[in-house]
Amino acid sequence: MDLFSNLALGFGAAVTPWNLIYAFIGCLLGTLIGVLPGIGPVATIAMLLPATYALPPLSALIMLAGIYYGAQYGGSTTAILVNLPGEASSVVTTIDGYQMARKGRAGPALAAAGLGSFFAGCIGTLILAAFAPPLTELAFKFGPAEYFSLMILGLIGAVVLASGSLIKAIAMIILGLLMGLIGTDVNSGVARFSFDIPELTDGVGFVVIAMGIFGYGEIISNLSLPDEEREVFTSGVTGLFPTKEDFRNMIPAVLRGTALGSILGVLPGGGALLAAFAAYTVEKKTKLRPGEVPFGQGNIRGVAAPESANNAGAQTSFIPLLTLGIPPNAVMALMVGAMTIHNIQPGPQVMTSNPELFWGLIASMWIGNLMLIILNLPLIGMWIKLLTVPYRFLFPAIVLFCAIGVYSTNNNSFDIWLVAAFGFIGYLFIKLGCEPQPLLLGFILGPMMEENLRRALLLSRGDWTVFVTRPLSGSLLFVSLILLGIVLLPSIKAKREEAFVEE
Amino acid sequence: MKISHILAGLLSTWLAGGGATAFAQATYPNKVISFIVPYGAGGGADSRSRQMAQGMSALLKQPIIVDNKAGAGGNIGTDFIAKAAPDGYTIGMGNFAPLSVNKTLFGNLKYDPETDLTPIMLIEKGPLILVVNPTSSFKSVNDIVAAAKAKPGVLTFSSGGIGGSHQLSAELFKQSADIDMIHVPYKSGSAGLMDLMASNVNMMFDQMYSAMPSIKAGKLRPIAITSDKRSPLFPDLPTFGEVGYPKVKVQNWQGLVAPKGTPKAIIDKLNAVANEVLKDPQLRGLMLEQGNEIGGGTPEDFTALIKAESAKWSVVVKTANIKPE
Repeated sequence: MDLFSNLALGFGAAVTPWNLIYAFIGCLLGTLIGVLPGIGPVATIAMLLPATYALPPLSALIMLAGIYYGAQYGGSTTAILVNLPGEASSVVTTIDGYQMARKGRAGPALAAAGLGSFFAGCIGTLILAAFAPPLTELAFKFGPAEYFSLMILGLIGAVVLASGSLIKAIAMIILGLLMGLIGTDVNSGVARFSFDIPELTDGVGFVVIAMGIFGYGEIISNLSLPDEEREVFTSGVTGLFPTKEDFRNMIPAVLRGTALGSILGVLPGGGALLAAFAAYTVEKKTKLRPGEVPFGQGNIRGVAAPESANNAGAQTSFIPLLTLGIPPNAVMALMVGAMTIHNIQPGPQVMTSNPELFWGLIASMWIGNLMLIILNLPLIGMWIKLLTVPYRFLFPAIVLFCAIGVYSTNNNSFDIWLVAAFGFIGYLFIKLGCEPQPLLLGFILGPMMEENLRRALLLSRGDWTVFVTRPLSGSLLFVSLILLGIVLLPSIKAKREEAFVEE
Repeated sequence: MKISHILAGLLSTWLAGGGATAFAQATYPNKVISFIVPYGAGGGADSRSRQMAQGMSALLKQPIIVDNKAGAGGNIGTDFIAKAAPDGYTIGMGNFAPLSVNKTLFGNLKYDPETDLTPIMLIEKGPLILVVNPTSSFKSVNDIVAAAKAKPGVLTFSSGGIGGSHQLSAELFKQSADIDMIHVPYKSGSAGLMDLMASNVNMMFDQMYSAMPSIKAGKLRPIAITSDKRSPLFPDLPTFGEVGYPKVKVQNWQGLVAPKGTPKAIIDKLNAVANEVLKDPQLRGLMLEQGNEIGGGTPEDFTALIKAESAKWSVVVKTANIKPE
């Protein structure tokens, strides 16, 4: 079969001792960067790009891919250990991951994230190699109207995310939508809620909000407790590895997450992110097995599913780059830059003009994933040790690293003040019993939803019927309606309240 | 990345301390220079800045640290350069939009691009190409003009945002051909390009380097180019001048700038070094491959270019009535 001979060509080119070393260096650097909150892969790759001039093209790309994956995995590590989502797609991981860590099960949570990601990465790579052209067609089917309907579905899904009060969840989503409006409106160019502060005309960064509300908020709340009541993570760390029971729960979740991630990842503009949220929603809606921990209290499925989904999505998000030459995000744009430096014209013709490089890159993604698991499974023990650091040392370190990280994204101290402000807001939310995850989803989806709504209407000359007459958009809205019905059904509502009381 | 900063910082402190005491007549540069990029890491301006910084650092024998100060369409970083100490230790990238468009567009810039900055040297200029979907019925500029005249306000063009070179080129075209089309802005040029490939919009003026791979792969059909002369990379592609719209000339340019008041001797030294860097065959190759025209020349040349461009675009922006509202 073509696919296998192609993959064999790729592996032949990618698997050399030197390339493996570059993959290892990339993954190691990436993980370290990912663990430092805020310092993203984009900045790192941009810095390292000149250093890769001297390397052969494939080795350079392998190292860069390693950084990308490593950073992504590192982001999940902090989400689980210290409730700090390094990037948007690990927000959902904090819900159950951090709860697992609080119950002394950080080890199994990290292993579930790693193993789930690895599996999803393998499947994603195969899908990428086999179905890139038809999946591109799928991406083309998504015009502004379809995006809008998909976002509606996502927002309704966000309500399901919350485990507490429904009204609070809705309030948080709306607050998130409002915060998302800060900044320059894409359609008119006008700056909204910016109060003439130039820094606000680009909107508030996701990292800023996540660090403030999750990281600093949690710290303030911890410090407000007397010493003896403060949480001690080390109490009863039970095993570094998932148990048999954990695996039985995890496997179907990983499969579902991978499937969702592979499909949604193809959509440029937040596909992988939506996948993580969608995967969590699906898990939450499937029945708990007897004896399973409820969601929101440290269910391993709540870590495995979104982590698999975002990694599968990260793989398939390469598809637009490979088939169209359009980079879906800044990291991919840098990879394109790396190709041009080595005299390779990126784009659709790479597949035919440099098959060794193209398939080598695909193989290197897989190698990157494998390297990550080899690197990270032994590291789990070390990460857990980190939690035994007394809180009086740990919290200033988190505060410091967050500040460095957030400063380095724009080299602007304004962002540090903003994080501090959001820290107090986060503390307020904890006191009020409001969960921040729906807020972040509203914050991310809101502006995209508005942008696509207005664009769809611009293209249809103000005709609202496009949302139902375009088949894909119509079906998505129909599904949203059903989901809304489920949320509003009294019996389910009663169950939600019940779950809330249990807590 | 932080480590490089810290090292460079230590190095600079050591050099500055040593330089000031040991050699009273220390010549420029005797400490680390920071190079401000008004856009985020990873974009076109950023990668070129890093290449320039690397070359200049080797010649000046001082480290040059690239600092990304992104935001507000390049205004934050450009303002930072304008407000920095004029001692030659802060220079940066001066780009098309913050230097020649944003003043008219926003009306409330915190810096004046013509008086608060000292131009050093033009690095490069890159044209745009008008592209359509290969399944489109439009094969020439005249097809588009005819269709737009038959149905005013129906054809759509995408862009990477309000007031950028994508939209401005289209507005210039609309004004020259006296036609009416609808602007559909996106968050980035590539998002706009994607929707063009999906046939959701009719056309787009895209940066040549960004559209080129898709044109070569047959995923986009080029209609005309906004440069003076045909590009050697697309010898069959007519310029707008050839098809009857000589006013549609657009080049997205970038160059080196320093804060106002930087001593002339320092500007001249930086200009000489930057011109030297532009002679590097590898760098020239990269620029030519992207379809760009290589810059160079004196600080006065660049000053004149910025002045001419500001005058030109302020008319286009005002005529098209582009304003954030």
